[in-house]
Amino acid sequence: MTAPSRGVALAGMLVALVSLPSRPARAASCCVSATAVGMGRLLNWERFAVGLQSAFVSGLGYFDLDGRWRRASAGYRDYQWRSDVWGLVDLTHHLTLAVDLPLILNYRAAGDLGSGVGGGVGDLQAGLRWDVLPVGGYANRPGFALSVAFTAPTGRATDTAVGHGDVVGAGVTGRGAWVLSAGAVLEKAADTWFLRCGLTLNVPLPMTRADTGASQRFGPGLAALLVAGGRLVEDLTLSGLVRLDWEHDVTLAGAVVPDSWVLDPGVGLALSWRVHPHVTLQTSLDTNLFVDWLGHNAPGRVTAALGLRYGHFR
Amino acid sequence: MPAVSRRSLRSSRPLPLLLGALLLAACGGADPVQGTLHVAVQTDPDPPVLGRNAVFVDVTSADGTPLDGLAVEVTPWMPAHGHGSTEQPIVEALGGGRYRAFPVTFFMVGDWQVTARASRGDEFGTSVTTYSIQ
Repeated sequence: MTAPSRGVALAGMLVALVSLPSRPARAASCCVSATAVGMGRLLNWERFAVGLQSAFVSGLGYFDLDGRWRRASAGYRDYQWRSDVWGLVDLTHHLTLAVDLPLILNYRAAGDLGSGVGGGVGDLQAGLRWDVLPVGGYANRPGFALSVAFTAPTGRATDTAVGHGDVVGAGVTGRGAWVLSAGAVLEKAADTWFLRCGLTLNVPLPMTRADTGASQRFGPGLAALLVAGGRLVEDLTLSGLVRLDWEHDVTLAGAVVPDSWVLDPGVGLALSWRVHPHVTLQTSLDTNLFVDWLGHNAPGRVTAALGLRYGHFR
Repeated sequence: MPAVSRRSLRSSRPLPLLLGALLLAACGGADPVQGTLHVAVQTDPDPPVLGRNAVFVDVTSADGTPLDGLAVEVTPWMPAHGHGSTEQPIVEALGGGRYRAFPVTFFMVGDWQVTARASRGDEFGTSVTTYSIQ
């Protein structure tokens, strides 16, 4: 297919997309939060949803092993462009399949090592969400959902980069370990506002390092997320979020690596705009808090994201 | 020059170390983690920087005699991300119990732990030093 004909086909798809039969957007309590932040969840009447979220991540420094914030020196640059292609499918009543495939492009400049660009597919995530109590399904009762998921090491881990000339590690797109996750989400939604609390347990499985052959296991971790949002005007929702990620010490060759636990808190803002009953534009800003003791053994980053979501229903 | 801090992991946990030392003293044995050989580490440049560095490892016996002919490994490790470096250091013996590992490559900012391990038969010694690379 030539470039002009690809353009015509793309334009045709876009026209078809926005011309799909739709029902009016409902101003119900179930709707405010579903598309507010990231992948979110399916609206109660949607059969599936797909999305693309592109994020620019800038590494500004790190929290050291004593919890002190240290800004990176002038000779260091660490940028990442991450695009997540994701999908949600309504399998049966209240059961949703979620898939997220990240595509990653890195740029890193590190002192006398020079700079490098690399990337590729990141670590694939897939899971199931069971809405035990659907949001908005019961009067005066918050929604409650359970989820299980896994992360597959489809990305390129650092230990596989040794000896391939990628000295700044720009081609690293994953951690190299399978991860099993289980989570719970509690969500209270009114007509114009919502509050969501989520807690996820992540359990990485042991892996064998490609560079040394040693067995390694990332520590189990908890990820907590609190999101509160409200409708500014019709179809425009503003949300604020607080997140806290914690990970236990790494185990290497059967021994726990001291001080390798991670604490990574952050805050963010998100704006979502349902431009069409099927289509939502999303944007968000997430950042660490660059203050001593508000992090441990973790990079300090600012992430700006822009997303497009299409939800299908008849 | 970027500010770099260095500390021994053993000095960061006084209570467990004290208990461990008491236990060792009571048992009369060698430190099961650090071994019987004494391993001292020095970097070039000192303090180390973002990029490639050399690490000098001085190994002595319990009575302070420099030891040659040992197997020496130097391993950089970034605990924040759970990974090592993108380059494998090569160790050469300089004589007089001194060994040089190069390149010890810190390709990201953050805290790096450098483990130096020297061994000969059942004898070994280990040193773990943390460097903060900005």
